[in-house]
Amino acid sequence: MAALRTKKQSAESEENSSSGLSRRDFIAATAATGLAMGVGESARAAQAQAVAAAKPENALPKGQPEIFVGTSAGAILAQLKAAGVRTLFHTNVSGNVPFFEAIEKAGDVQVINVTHEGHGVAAAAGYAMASRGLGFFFGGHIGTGNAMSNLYCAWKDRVPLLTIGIGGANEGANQGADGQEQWDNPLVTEPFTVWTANLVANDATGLLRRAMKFAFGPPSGPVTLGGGTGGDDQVQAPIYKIDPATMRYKTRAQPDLIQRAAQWLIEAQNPVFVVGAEVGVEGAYDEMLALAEKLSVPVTETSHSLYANFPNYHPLFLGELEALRYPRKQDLLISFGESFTTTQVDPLKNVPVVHISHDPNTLGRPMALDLAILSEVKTAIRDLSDAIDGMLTKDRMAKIRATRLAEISALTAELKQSREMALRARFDASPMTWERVGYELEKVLDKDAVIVPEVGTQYYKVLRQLTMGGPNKQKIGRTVGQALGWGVPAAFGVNVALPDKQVVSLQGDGGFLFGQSEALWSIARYEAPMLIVIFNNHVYNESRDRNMQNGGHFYTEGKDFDGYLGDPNVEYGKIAEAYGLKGEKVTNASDLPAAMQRCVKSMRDGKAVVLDVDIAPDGPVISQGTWYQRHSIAEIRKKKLGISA
Amino acid sequence: MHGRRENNRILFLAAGALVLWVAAADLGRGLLAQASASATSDKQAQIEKGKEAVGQTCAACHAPILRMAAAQKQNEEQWKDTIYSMIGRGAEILPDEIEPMAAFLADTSARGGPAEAQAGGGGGRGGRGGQQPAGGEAADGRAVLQRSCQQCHDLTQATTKLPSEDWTAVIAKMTGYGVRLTPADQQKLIEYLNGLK
Repeated sequence: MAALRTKKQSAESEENSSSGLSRRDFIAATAATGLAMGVGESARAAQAQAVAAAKPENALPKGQPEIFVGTSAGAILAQLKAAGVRTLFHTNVSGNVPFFEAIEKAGDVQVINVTHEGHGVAAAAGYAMASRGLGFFFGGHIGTGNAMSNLYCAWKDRVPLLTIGIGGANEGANQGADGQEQWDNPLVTEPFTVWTANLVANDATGLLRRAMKFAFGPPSGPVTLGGGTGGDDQVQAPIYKIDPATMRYKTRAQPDLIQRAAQWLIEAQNPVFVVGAEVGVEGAYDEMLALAEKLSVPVTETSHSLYANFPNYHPLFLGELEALRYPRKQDLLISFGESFTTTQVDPLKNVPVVHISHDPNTLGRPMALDLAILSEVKTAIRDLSDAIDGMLTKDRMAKIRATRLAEISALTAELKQSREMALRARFDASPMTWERVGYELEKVLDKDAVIVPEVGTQYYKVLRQLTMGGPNKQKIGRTVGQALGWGVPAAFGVNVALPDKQVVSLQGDGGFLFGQSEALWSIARYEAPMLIVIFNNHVYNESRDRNMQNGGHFYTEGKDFDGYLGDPNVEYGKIAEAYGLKGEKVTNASDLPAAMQRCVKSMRDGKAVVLDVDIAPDGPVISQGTWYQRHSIAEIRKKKLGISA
Repeated sequence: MHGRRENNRILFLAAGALVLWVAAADLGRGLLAQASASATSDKQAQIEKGKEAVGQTCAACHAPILRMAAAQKQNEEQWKDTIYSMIGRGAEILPDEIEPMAAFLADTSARGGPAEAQAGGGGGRGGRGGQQPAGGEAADGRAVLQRSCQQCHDLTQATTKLPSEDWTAVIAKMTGYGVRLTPADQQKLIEYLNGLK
């Protein structure tokens, strides 16, 4: 019988538990460096810093393990549990009986069934992003193709995720034989993972621990473990306790670099901050807010910021970096954990850029930097704040803060007025505007609801109507990868992690049609009382807009080969009803408030709702077009079928 | 006599009225012309303000904004809707810029291109495009300019360089940024730009 046999409680390793440099020491070292001015430092500096400053907090556990005796499947579960993993997303496959036996024996592990490997990976990723822990999925290797799209999204989003089964190849005696459900390339998931390997029974838990180390990085991301032996081999396996919160290597910038960044920040007339996903991942929200307020530095985010990393209602918040127009003569930009992986960097080309990231792979990739700082973002913010305190008198700081705050506040107030005008201009229009839906959501949702968007660039029209950041509404997604078919299962995973929050999935009709309706099965099975809003404009508006914005033949002809979705005119609420969920459809703006109230009541009562809202397409006039290349098999068939019936 | 005197009085009054009417009409026409000129001037000022705001706001994400405006043929109200839509998407547009931007974009739509391009393919803000006679190699060079440069620059910008640079260096830099130009087209473009007065 499988059992845990304790040899000795594992000793905590003190030497690995901290960076070994106190804040006081750091400040003293900072003061001692003096100033080292000058720009043009290459991002290569990051590598040097990685050697000099990086110090793992808890790369791999040390000390005496517990020894598990039993099946290898049982050992894997024991090691997962020792890392705090209790929720296992899963898609049906044969061959997992030993693992299920272990799960049943454990008694405190929840399997969440999902009907498609791609949805399973998205749900596990959503769970990881919401819980800030490790997402776990197991399924059949044959579902690797299904999983790839959302594996790619998780990789782009740097989500710590572990899958077992996905990615497996034939490593047995019949390699090259093209056998049933077999292929030979063992590295099929390699482009979208931070590590991929094959499980072996005699080192299953060791592989698992290394997989977790890779998953948390940095760089963090998905790990796929393929192969396996069915899990019924008898093993004696060491089990170590792992705290995912301390798995990530923690780095701290050299004091002179912080000093330099602080000096530039003080000297800049018009600095701008960019807040990125690492602020959210590290929980550095309060520190980020305090630093911005210290000198009243305006704050932006990129168009695909994964989380609400700064309060969007704050007078210092200017919105998207890509749209940045003010301050007019920016003379310093400091990025706090924004990877810029999908961002146009044009706005930055003439501005000195300081990039702070805990991920050495990110620094300097999309652009040349003036100062690259490899550091945990939260620590860097605190260090920067301390360095400023050491350089400026309180009076000087207050003067800078007050002058700048007055200017930025006046500007953000005007921009808010413009948004209000945009909202009111078509407030009662039917089909409805994105802004109107956002406005109504703000009125009915809980203050701390979690929004999971998967819509095009119109998403900002909704999100700027919502009060987000800090103790207010949170945002997870849109996936930086942007491969459609992620949102609903990801939102489901978020709800699994956060059962006490309202979770709202924002979907375009086009995105939902990327095979997402089956995710409603899991939502119904596990009674996830979510709201799924379908922004139904009957068109792939985003791509049509881009394709047509410069005019051209198709624009003048009113032709769009792949954009129009209104034929058939899908009733998304009825899809929900087919799964036993509640469906709502709103075509008139005046009906929206009451429908929203009914949705919230249904969520309160424990049942998910799909709210299908008729949305006006925007962009060029061609957005109204309903042309598509018609083809009817029923019309062209030459043979009468079904006559015998 | 009485009747004749009366007739003279009527004639006098009629003549006076005619003079007054003509004078009033002249004055009215003058005032109308003045008002019209003032309205045109106001509209032009609004369009100019809109042009500046469009340049600062739209081009960040829509490099060929002027070509878009020309292609989409929207009127002022439709452009205002588009501007509202872009504000929703995050464009930093101030309340008093909305009407001028709509006016400029509608004007550009109506002309089939920006005003300075209509006037000769460039000009304004120090640009020099269009001051070379059309035809022959110059026409070829201008075609390359319009085809390859207008994607990211308006013609004003695309025909202006720093005094310290020559056009060969500028074109080399742009091809380094990814602009696809055959060597022959590069040569046509350089000759055209060098020929601008």
